[in-house]
Amino acid sequence: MMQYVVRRLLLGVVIISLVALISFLMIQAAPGDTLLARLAQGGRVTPAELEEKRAQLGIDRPIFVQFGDWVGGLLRGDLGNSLIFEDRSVTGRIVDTLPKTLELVILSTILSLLIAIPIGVLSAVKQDGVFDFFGRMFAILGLAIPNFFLGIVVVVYFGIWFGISPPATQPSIFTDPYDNLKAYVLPSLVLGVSMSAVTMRMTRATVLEVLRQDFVRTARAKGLRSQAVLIRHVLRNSLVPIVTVLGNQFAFLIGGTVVVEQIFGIRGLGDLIFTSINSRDYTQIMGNTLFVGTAVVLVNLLVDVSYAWIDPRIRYA
Amino acid sequence: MAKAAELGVLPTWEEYRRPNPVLTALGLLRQKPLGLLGFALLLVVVFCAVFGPGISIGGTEILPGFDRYDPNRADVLNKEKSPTMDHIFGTDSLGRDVYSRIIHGSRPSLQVGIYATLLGTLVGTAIGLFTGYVGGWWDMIIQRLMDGVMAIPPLVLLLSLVSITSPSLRNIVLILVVFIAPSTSRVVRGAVLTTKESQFIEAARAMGSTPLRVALRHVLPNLFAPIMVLATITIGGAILVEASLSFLGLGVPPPTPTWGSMLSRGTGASSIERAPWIALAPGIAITVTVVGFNLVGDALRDILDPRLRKTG
Repeated sequence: MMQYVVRRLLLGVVIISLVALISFLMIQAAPGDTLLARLAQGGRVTPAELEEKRAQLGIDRPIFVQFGDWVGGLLRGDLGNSLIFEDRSVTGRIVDTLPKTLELVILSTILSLLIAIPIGVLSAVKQDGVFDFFGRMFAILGLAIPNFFLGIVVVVYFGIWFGISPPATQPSIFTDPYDNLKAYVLPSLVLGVSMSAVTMRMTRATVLEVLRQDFVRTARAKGLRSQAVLIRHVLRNSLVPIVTVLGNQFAFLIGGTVVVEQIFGIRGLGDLIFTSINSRDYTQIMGNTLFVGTAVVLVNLLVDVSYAWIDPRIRYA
Repeated sequence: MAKAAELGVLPTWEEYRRPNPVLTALGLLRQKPLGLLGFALLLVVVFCAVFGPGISIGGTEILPGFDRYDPNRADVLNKEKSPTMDHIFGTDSLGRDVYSRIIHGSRPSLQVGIYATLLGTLVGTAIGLFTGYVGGWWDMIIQRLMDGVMAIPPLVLLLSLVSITSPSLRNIVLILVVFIAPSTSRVVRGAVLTTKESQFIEAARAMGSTPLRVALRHVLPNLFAPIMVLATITIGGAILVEASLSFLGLGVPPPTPTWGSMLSRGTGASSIERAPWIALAPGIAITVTVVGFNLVGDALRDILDPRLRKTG
């Protein structure tokens, strides 16, 4: 087990390095340099000033040197400063915005499981029945409705019908849990519903398969109540694929937060990603991409390691 | 073939040799009512995209469309009119006819989805075939690179790429390829690895076929099913991603009416309360199209490739 984790971590380091390389090269491919982008709005500049500023930012050096410099800083945990907010460090801004997005991600994952697992299990148990039909319809629609469309509809109609509207600011969950949850419940619901479609389909497919196994027949034959069979035997044995889907969805979830944070006015990491791209804040973009890529790699590692915990039959040699 | 079975005799050689692929596909779709529904939805959408705006060659219209107004004709006096017989989906904030814009928008929306998927599948298949078949260091290096690309959330990757190029239909398509190719290459590579060990591949190799010939003539045809299934579902995904980009203001630029940008305009905080049809029409259009592709994809998967069922 330890050996497996170490090997996966090493592979993770390789992948993260490649993510770093990709995010660096992507920015290098941008037309014009970072300086021109920044000075675009700032009146007239003489070529000499431009040269001086370039030297100051270090972008007049060869690309390899710049990359080495960036990686050097990276290893010390320093990603440089934002180009737009010059006194703010890239990592500092990520750390500041992270809690909001983290809460959004956790809440929407919980909501998606609360929606997906009961529907998926019931759909499988009542295969081809009325419930199954509606369950599958829900999944098909959930996959196809753009989450921003759903988000907008939710914002407007929840506001009109129930008088719930998302507040403009989100207080911390530690100081004001009620207002905090009020601010996050709608955006989490929007993300959770689109996530749950995929999870529900996977749950249904896996449960259908497990239901046909011999041990389920045995459990029934020894007179176990069907509820106990479902939860203790069937669901327990369906968890590995469900967790896999959850892991795979993580990357999409981060993308989803970019859109949903725009709609609900949450100043989280998704919003930071969007605004720094819009304002061509290149150091921030590189930092964001690297950070999110690292998170995805780690989540995938966590998912793979959790298999052994979920299903003791799985052993990593 | 059905006729022969009814009579209780074996099909003739001709019947064995040439099952009409179109008829077979339709027959199979009939067993999947949901697949058939999806197919019908797609027919409507494709029909709108092809014939809706009319067909013109070199600026002269050779076939009139069934749009009612110029999709870009602003009529500010009639803005945000609710649906009437004249404007069946109403008008938007500039007084443009929403119905005509939906019809015109179907073309670029489908184009983005289909072109990006075709190109992305082509690139992904080439990469997957190469790395799976050649193996070794090439496989190791290229697939790790794909891991790297896939570790970056699609929307984040695409937004960054859009920001360094100028948004245009062609660029959006090229950027979507970056999102489609890695996952396709992964599926193709997996299929290549299992196919590679088959006896008929060994046989082909023993007969002295060059590796290229084995890869293209023997391995590739066996990958048809998983690639088809994946591509069908990918088109829907690509249309959704383009809509997300448009929603964030980085999609196909105006004046081209795309569903994503219409939805984005229609959802401005106030306009959706006053005039919900502006956003509802493109939202429903996107949903219907993606549902169509997904239903057909599901049916194809059940028919062509039972092994993939679990990924559902």
